[in-house]
Amino acid sequence: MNRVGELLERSARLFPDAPAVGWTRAHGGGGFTYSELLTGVHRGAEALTQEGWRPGERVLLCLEPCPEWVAGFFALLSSGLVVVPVLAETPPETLAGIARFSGATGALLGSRPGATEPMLPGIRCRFASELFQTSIVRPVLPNARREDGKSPGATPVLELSGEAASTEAGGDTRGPEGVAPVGWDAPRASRDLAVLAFTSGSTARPRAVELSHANLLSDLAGLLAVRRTGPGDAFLSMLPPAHLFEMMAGIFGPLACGARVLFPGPLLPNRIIAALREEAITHAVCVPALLDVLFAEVAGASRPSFAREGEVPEDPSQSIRERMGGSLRTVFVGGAALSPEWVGIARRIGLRLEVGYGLTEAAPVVSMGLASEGPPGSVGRPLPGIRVRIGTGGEIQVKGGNVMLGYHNDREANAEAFEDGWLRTGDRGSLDPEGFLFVTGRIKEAVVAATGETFYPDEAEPCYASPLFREHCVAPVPGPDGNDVAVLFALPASAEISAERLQAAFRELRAAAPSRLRVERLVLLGSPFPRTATGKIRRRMLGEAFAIGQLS
Amino acid sequence: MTTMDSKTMERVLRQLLADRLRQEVPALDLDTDLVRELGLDSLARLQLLAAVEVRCGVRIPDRQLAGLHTLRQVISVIEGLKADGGHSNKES
Repeated sequence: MNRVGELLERSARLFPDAPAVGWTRAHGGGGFTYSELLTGVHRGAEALTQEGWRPGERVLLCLEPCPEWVAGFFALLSSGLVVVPVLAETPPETLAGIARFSGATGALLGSRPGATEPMLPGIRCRFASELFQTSIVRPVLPNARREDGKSPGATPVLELSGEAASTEAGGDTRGPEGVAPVGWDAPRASRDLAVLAFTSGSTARPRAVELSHANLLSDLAGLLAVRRTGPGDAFLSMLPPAHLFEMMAGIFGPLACGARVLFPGPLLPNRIIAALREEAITHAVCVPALLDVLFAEVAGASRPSFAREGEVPEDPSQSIRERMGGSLRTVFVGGAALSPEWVGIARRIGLRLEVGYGLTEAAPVVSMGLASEGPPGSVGRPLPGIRVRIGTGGEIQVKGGNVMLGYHNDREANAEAFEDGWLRTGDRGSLDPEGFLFVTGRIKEAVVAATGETFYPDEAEPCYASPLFREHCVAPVPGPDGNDVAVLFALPASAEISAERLQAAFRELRAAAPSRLRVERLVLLGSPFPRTATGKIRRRMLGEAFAIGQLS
Repeated sequence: MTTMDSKTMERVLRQLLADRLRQEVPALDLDTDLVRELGLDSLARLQLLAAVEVRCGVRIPDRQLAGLHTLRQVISVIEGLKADGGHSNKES
């Protein structure tokens, strides 16, 4: 397999009539089987080519999570275009900045013509609803019967999985390590750019990761060698597909195996729980914060109170399983640190928690493992084909076919990104003798919240400028769950200004800041910030000192 | 869930919001922006709307969800749905 698009072509050959992508029924139902999806992709790609879109051009993919997102992604790749996935709720001015920085010449947008278009001057805009209007959209029932009476779930997955094959639908089979499923010839895959993934879209500091077809296929091969799904399995797609973790583990992984991917629409916890039940969902990809919210919805209690034995009446695990419909088996968790309490909770409610570690620069999954199998706190073992070492300063460093081509147009960042050919993750960690990876802290200054959302302090700092502060900075403070809490540190402009006045100014600035850049609180300092020899503020050091009570 | 007048609904919503924020909000203006001014994060906002749906026995149409930023807007949508005979499951 040389190009990412081939995974869909093969699945369409193997599982033509199996449902591939769709909406949940509560959200209107409908979707595409594998052969319908491929037909739609080919038609879309043809239309784009006829309209003069040329291979290598960059195209923004800015859609709500939906079946057309998947069709759009593959249609763009099939035309040889480079996909620039962008969150659907990206503000127009940020979108315009992303378009400029990526050199995008086109955009595939959602179904509201006119809303975003004026913000993208000189960019060809197509709307997914128009591009795919010729495709057959009809309700796809779970485990739909084929005309010959066979259930698509009975299609063997032998060709896909080679010697480690399981013909049993839905088997979470652990393949032999180091053996990629047959057909995944990642080393020979194309080095052409496939995806330009933005890790920061701020105009002050845009950063985009260049990922080739080979990068994506290598990571997928590693994932599928360790955990495979099959026809009959149903994934509920809850995270934005523009995030590499959802894109790879939540969409492309299942599509490579003949499973179906369902989009639930707005993420109201009650609707998600209902969808798990009504659609017989077997798998989902999640971030810790969302997992907590869903758990609170279904258990009627928060995670900490549930984890404290004795505070929960009798054995509620049975009813929790029932309320979730009883079919959910596996949840892949990544994007942020998972509270250790979850290992016990998952065991009690009979849920397989796959804990992973990764970053966009590694396409994205580096390691993955069942929480109940690994030592407490570990993030599993590196995927087959991916090497991990602990480098200078205890930094986790990664080598493998999954490692990005580099940052887009950013010589400075590229110079710092590698050490002797190993990708520097910016995370601190360790490997135990059995090869389990642990993430123990961060070296980079990016703030990573429990939602998996990341931002750089210098993106947020301009929002908090005030004449009342002599200097200020945003720094990540390590929180109890291992995730960061963003805090504004400020040195008042004069000792005369009351703390109340400063806090009031902070509240106003915070309310005016974009929600993703809102920091938790203001901490007033009495002395200047610690700085490096070159004058850069040592934000991590500041945050860690505050966390352990060395600052008042 | 049967009929619920505006005052009752307002009380219920305030209680649901207080549960989310873990503090009482009796003085909260009905037009306060829940995210921008009250500091509710996006997941907490979805949790609040989920609680509203369950408590009031309605399904808020998706196209209206994104526009709900204040308690007054929520009350108005719920009243509209109740007047339409409960809830709307289907939409484009």
